[in-house]
Amino acid sequence: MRAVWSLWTKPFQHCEGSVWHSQYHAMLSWALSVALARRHYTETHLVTDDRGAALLVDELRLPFTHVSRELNRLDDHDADWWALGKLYSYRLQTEPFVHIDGDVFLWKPLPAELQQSVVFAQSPETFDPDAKHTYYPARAVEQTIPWLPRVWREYTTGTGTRTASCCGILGGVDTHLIASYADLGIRIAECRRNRSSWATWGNKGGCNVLIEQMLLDAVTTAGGHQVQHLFPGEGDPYDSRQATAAGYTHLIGAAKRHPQVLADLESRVRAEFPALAARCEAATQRSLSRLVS
Amino acid sequence: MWPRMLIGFAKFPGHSMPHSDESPPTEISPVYHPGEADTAFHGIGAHLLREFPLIWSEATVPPPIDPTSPGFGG
Repeated sequence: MRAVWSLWTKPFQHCEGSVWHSQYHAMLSWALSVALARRHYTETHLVTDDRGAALLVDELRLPFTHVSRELNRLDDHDADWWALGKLYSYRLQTEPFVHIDGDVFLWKPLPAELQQSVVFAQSPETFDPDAKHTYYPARAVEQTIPWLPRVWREYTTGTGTRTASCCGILGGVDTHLIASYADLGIRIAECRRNRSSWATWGNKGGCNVLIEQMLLDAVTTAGGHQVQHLFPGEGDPYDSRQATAAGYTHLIGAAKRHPQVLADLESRVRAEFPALAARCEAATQRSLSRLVS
Repeated sequence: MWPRMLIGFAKFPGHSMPHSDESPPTEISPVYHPGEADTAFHGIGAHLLREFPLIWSEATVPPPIDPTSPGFGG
């Protein structure tokens, strides 16, 4: 199984998605994510654009065995769609893989059984599309966006809770199914019929989790399978004992700006990978120099 | 201190995303975990940055990558 990372730099530059305290800490996180996973995977692939390759490959010299610049195709896309870079990367895979977010650290190998699953992800999440306030605004999208795939409509029709999957990691052996799901998500964002309606959305932040995390469960279920999870319960990853048992870190949301977490991140990279830490610092200094010159 | 970047979207499952009841929203406000306010939110398994022992052996030290190999930079 190969490990895959993706970096579409446009949302990163526009501060879309969850945002790091500084570029320096973002680089440290990328360095640690790749360096740790490389202990478990001999094939390490990066899917990015020219700017991402310049940063992660040329400047940081992270140990990727293969680099694709497929995400140059997203140059003229709305940076609000930060999940598109991931979906393009999922769609590109033709062999069993695990996509690892740049803020995820695999201290241990993933369980072999999980890696042999048709589709797997980090952990399940539940939501009620009819709830007044929900992190997954499916109904709002359904009321404003003209084209949605039938599998979406079938998944959200009716009442009750639905599941989605947190995609800090996403992978599986059925790359055809995963590519089909990713293609549908991309089409929802790119479809010409949807263009004018999407343009009326000021912030599409929550729509990203619909096309990435809800659609994954919808397509997998429609295909007669279930997404398997590293953490079977929704609350499991937030239990420190279970995170320790899995050897899994995901610096989601505000953790990217938490002073103690960032200090620990810097200390660990400096201790285990001093050459990488030095390159992160040098790249940051060069970036600052360019800003002031 | 490194320059602070703008704070953007932060996610946490199950937390509310306020919007109007009157018409379909076309803008979703960012959702912040309550811990955002007091920086108490540590993410998932962040303690492992301090605590997880890494054992280095021949098995865990991968061979260096040849940047001239096919596929690299492709």
